[in-house]
Amino acid sequence: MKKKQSFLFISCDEAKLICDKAQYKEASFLEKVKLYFRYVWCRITRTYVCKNKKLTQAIERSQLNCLNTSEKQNLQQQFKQALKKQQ
Amino acid sequence: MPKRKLNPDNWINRYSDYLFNYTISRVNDREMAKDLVQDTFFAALKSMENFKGDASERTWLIAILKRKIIDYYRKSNSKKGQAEVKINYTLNEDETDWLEAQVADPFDKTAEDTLENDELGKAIFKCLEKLPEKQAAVFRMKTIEGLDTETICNELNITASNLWVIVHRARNAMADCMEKTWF
Repeated sequence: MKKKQSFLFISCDEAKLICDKAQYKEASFLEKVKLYFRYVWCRITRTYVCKNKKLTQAIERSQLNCLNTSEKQNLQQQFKQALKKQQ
Repeated sequence: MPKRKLNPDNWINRYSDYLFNYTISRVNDREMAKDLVQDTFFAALKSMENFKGDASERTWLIAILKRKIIDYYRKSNSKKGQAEVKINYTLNEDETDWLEAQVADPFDKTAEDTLENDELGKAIFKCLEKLPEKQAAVFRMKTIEGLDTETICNELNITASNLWVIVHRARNAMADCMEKTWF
């Protein structure tokens, strides 16, 4: 017989997914509540949340800049042409 | 130690972000940084024969980029003719005449902070280079460029749930790598 699970109960994988979303401020309030309940009693979730937060903080602190996709594609095209000429 | 070889086909994918981040923190101008990175790749392509194989590709490219940045500053200084010190003392409405208000903010970025950020950026990009291409692209777009989920999904032709799985794998790998090299 199947046991009826509480709607607040989520698996470890779901908790990790919500934690990832939360790093980008894309987790809903209900998802955060679910994550919190799991966080309270699951050591694996706690470890993951801690590790994930550390990564987010490091990235924020480093103030990284990068080329956007179209800039990168332009550069790639021009470079390929130059490479062909060279060969 | 075996001699290293150059593989220009991968240069843009592997090093363009790192070189761009390195440049923009030094020239503070996005367009100029883009031009300098492009010049660096072209110059590297021309002088591939000079690569002895002692250093890594990345170190060699950075050495070329450093010279490009120095040239850029030399040129912009020679345009001015000579170094000049401007004392611009104008009182705007929001400026006070209190001397304390005009000195440098002690809580502003120090040289030490800049150095630490540089090193941290280097560590992050090194970890990013180790990710599979698709994971690296998604992680870069989502985390560094800050694009929203829908835009990335449209651009890469993937579903939102697929995107979150890729993000999860990338974050996991990045956190493990950073744990070894930085934290």
